[in-house]
Amino acid sequence: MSSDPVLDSQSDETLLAAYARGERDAARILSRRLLPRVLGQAHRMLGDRAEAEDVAQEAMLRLWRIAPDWEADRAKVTTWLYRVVANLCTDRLRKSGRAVALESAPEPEDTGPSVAAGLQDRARHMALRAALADLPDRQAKAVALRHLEELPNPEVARIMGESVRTVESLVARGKKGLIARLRGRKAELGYDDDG
Amino acid sequence: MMMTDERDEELFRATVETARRRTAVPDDALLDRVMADADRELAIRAPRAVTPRARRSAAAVLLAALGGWGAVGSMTTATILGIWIGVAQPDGLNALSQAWSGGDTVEVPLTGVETLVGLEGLL
Repeated sequence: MSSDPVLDSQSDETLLAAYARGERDAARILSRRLLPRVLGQAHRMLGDRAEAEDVAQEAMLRLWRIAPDWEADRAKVTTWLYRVVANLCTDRLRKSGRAVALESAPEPEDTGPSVAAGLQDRARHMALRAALADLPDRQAKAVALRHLEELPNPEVARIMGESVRTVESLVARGKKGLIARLRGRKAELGYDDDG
Repeated sequence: MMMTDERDEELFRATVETARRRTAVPDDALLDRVMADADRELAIRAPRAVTPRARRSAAAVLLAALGGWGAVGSMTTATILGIWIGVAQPDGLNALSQAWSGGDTVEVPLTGVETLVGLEGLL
């Protein structure tokens, strides 16, 4: 689908302002530009495509709603979206994540290497989800933004509205907490204790 | 044999790597849902179309309040007739009543004592 080349070259913030003035095409360009990142972040945190899509749609809806009140000097749209997605994901993890037991990951039935590897990946992701759900919210967000999204600490600090020093502490404690929760499941996750 | 810290680090790194490999490409259905939300929000915010109402003169407002030209025409006729009756009576009225009654004038007292007979106790 072709887009307006002029709009295409605009920043996210300019496009959001255009949408707020009623330009529908601006919303379409923003969606195409931002949805992959939003959906990817949610998918990495939740490990479930359907849930990730719900979160992505909700995050974009919140963007449409805030558009008329968006201030030019506010944080970048992407920074704001990272925060919204992280919040929505930790909300979901808190409500349902702890109920997702690692045992719910399916047992391999086919011994083929690709199937087994896929199921092991799923088991690892379910373990990560359960561990994130069990962490305090701020630690879960910090460690997810730092290690799943691979963002530098200053960017994580901007997203979370915390100081860099606080983020460093949150990431360190979050990582330690994750390891502690994963450690007891090494065999299930396909890690040999003999290394 | 690896040290515990190294094994922990490897466990963390491998688990996180697994999650990082997960990519999700938005499909058209999701894009449609997101755009439907965008359209709905635009529609909610759009100022409702206002049809400008023509300014009406005070006379037009009064005319409308009285029921339009048809009603005013009837009222005008009745008003003129009433004024004529008021100015032209009593001869005209007498002639009219005599014509109806066959030439005799009939007087009907409206406030005479006869009408109060029997009402003394109540007044």
